[in-house]
Amino acid sequence: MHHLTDAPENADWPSHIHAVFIRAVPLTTEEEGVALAAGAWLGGDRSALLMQSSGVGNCVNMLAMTRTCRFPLLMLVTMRGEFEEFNPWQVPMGTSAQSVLQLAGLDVRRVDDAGSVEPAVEWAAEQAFGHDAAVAVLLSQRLIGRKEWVR
Amino acid sequence: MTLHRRDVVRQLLAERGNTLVVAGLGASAWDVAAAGDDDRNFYLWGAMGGAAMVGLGLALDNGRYGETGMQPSHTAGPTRLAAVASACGIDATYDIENDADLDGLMRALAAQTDLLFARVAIAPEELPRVLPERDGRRLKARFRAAISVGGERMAGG
Repeated sequence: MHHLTDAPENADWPSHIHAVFIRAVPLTTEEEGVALAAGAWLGGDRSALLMQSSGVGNCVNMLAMTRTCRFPLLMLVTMRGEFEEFNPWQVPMGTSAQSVLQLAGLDVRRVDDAGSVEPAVEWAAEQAFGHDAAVAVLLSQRLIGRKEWVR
Repeated sequence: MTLHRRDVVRQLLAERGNTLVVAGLGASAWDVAAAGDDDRNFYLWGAMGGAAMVGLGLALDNGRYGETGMQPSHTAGPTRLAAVASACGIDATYDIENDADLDGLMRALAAQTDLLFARVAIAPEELPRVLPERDGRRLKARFRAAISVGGERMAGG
């Protein structure tokens, strides 16, 4: 539900696809997105919840609602704390994000190469909205690369 | 003067029209159930802090953490919820302290089509629980059926 502010310029989708087809809702904390996704579904809308791996831990209690009510949930998580991570504070949550999501009852698929992102997200959307599943796609830090810091 | 929570909720829902209700866990859910069950009510039995995101709008404020033993909350101190909502960009905010205010809120709700925040000051009282349906899947399905959004599915097996 965040803006696609970092979409690559050569991507083969319209640059304003998020403004045309998708309403972006900024969150103050990640678990709000879990509740918002539930509310959207109650109202007949579909949503995707985007976050960084450090936000996964914030979602744990709210995911109880997803599981108990069997709400569809499509979560896309960009990973930190792994490939070429420069910030050690990102490592603990990056390391446990997948296990935390699985403990909360989500189906988790991890993607390490760009060519697999589209089929993985398509599969996840089909699972979520076709079968009322809660699914997370973890996007490896290899897809993003080393974060550059400008002094 | 302080209002009584069950009376406030019963009055607000007496002529609910097309109102959809999302009730936070605990006493808020019992209040809504006590006003009469309806397929368009979605009660949270958990997911603490989720009600305002699943739905939006009304806060019953007794200045207490009611579910954990009535300890004073931030609103017993200097925090003013209507001012917080206003600072967040919600234009229509209401501080409801008495029956006259409540009548005004009823009229505003009937006319309002946009986001509205109302904080209703209620007495810190402990009332008998009125327990609604607690099967989450059933609550979800009946809510969607009541507003006719159930049934659609993506193509494919």
